[in-house]
Amino acid sequence: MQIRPLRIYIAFAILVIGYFFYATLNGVTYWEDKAERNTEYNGNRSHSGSGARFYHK
Amino acid sequence: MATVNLLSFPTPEFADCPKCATSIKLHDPEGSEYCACPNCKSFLRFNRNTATVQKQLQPIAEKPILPLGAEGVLMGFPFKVIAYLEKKEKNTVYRWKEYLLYNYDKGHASLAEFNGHWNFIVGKNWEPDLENVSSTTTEATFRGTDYRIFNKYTPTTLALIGELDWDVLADQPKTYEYIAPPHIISKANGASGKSKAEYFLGEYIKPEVIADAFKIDPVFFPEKDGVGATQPSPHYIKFDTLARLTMLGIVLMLIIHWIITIFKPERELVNSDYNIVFDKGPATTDSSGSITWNMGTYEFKPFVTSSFEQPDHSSALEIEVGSNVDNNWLETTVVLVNETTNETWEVTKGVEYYHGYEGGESWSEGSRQESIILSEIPRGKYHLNVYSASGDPFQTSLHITVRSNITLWRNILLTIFVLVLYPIYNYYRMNSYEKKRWMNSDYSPFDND
Repeated sequence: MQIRPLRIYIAFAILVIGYFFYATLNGVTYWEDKAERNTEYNGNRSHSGSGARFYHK
Repeated sequence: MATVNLLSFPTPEFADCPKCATSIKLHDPEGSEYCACPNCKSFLRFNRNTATVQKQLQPIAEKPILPLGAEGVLMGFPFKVIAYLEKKEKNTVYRWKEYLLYNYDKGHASLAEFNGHWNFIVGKNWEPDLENVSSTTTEATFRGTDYRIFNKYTPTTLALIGELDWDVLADQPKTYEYIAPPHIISKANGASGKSKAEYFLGEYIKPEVIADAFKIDPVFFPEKDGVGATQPSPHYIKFDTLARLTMLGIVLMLIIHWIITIFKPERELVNSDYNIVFDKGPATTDSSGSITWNMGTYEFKPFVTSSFEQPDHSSALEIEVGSNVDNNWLETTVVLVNETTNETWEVTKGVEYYHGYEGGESWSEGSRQESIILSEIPRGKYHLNVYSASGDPFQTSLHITVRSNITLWRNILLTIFVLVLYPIYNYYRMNSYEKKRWMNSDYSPFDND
């Protein structure tokens, strides 16, 4: 195997696999489903109407 | 036959041309049976020290890069250049040059140059295994390697200078060339004095190596044109290694994943069915004066699940919502609430399932369950606030599952995708290179492309 011409690719692959290790260990998704952080649900959603609401925390 | 089994080059001798009396220097006087007179271009044959004119030669078209008598060490063997030949394929315009090399121990070898690409070619005096080549019209096998047919032709000699041990002008064998870069197997059928096919083995050699061996300035060598038949592909070497490294990387990644799942197994934090109840809410009056409850979208009473623990330092959570909707939809907003920090993650997911029978065929679309993945959810105690709405006010069931440490296929697939991008690009370049190589052949495997 001629490794030398591929040293940049090897370094890149090590970074990619290293980050995969970190992400798997910490439950990091490469892309997250649409989620809103620290909101207060106030009823302004597309299917919302006049239903009863409460402060959810 | 060339003189062999000597310890050094024999002392050159001189012979007179019977036509013009020019003194001709012979580097292998015992072995060379034919030579070209450098003055009158007569092709001479020596028989019992008597030279006779066989034929009149054409003058050479180009000055040889390697001069006659030049000595050098090539492939670890000392050689002397004893002849230069200009050849062509019969009935075509393709021309090439050959240099006959003489080694005092093993005999002749040759260097062939076409379009600036060089091959070092030897016969069975160098490679006795050539006796064992098996071939058909399309491929040959030598030492376990398959060679693919590249060219078929009949060579003719246009001009030459120097000395040889066979009548090259009468020699017009039907030649088959099979390649497995950087090697070539050449099969000569019907060579003069040979009753069966004779095989030769060639190997691509860089002009710089020849220049260095014979102490010649590389600038005198012709420029390379296109891709040589046996020129090794730099992309092939790279791709071969790349493919192995990439496979190794993917296996390593899967092992990492497998080990982590041993220490952080998937956990089911919530798996419950909930009864949902349509919440009429405050009534409104429409334009006709009728009392309605937000018709078309029916909201259900929100509820809070019981608490659950996410015990790992940090984890991806999958929240799955399901309902037995039937030709209808249900949308649920789930708010994940950390009971210690009040941090929240709010997601909305809808399920819809429709089916029917139309035109003699059953159909269905949608799904009764959907999932959402949340990233990096820290350790802690959580609950869910659930808000549902549906097109069906009589919907009664909602199923929620929450799992931690799930297999993140998106991460695995994206990592594999990133790792294989460069190998794919390299494969494309390797393919382009091979297409260029086979453009010079009538037997290209890319002809259908």
